[in-house]
Amino acid sequence: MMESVVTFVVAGSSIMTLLSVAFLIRFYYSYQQKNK
Amino acid sequence: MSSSEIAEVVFQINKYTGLPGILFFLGFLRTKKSNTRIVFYVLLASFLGDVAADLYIKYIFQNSHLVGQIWVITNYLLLSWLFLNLLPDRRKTIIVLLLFFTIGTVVTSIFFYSFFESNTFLVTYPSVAFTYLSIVTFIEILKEEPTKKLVEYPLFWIVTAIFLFNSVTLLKNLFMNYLIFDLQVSQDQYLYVWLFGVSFNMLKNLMFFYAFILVKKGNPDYIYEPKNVAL
Repeated sequence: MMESVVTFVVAGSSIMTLLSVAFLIRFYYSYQQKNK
Repeated sequence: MSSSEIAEVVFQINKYTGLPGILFFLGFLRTKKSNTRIVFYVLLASFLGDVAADLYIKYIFQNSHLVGQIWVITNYLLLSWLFLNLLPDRRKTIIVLLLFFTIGTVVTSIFFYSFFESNTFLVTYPSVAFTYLSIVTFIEILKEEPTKKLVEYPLFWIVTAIFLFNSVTLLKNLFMNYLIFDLQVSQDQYLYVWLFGVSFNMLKNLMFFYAFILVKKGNPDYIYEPKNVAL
């Protein structure tokens, strides 16, 4: 139980990191497109 | 190296990542420009919070949740101030969010959590609120006519730091109380969760430092012209 919750939080945080970085890349791309 | 030794080393490194930004601001910037000054206060609060947590654990009590809660409240007020300046059109939303935060903090502190454990509402709510406000700020930046390269724009780094720190630590904050006080996970197991928060805190401190360097180079730290900003 303990380990599965820790794994869930660590995996969830990793996914959140990836999603956040993906959002930033998307934002950067949109900004560059607008700036052309 | 045991997990407590790793935690101690990482915590000390984390603590001092706030210093470059603070010293740079005091030495070279000292700008009256409001946004940069507020970010400096945020950085200072983060640094002082870490120093206080360190001393508190060593000399007063076994955990630093009390110091953490004081830091969260200070940080929330400072970041609300920053977002009020950045997003004058969202003034009402920010004030309503602040009101909910105040009511929720008072209610949960009185009825649900003690000051010596992790108050789930107190630590999770700011993560949600500031992730939302950062996304709104990104959209506002996009709406404005871009004049400079994005990476030379200090506000991009400031908002990115706030966005990453709050979005990534959201789950950690949500489960912190459950993991530590209900499941009573071992230090070895909790280290992995804890490292997420600390590494993104370091990243945030360094991004603020980089933003200060960009402000020093003469880049603007606002979205709209200052005449439209409620300073």
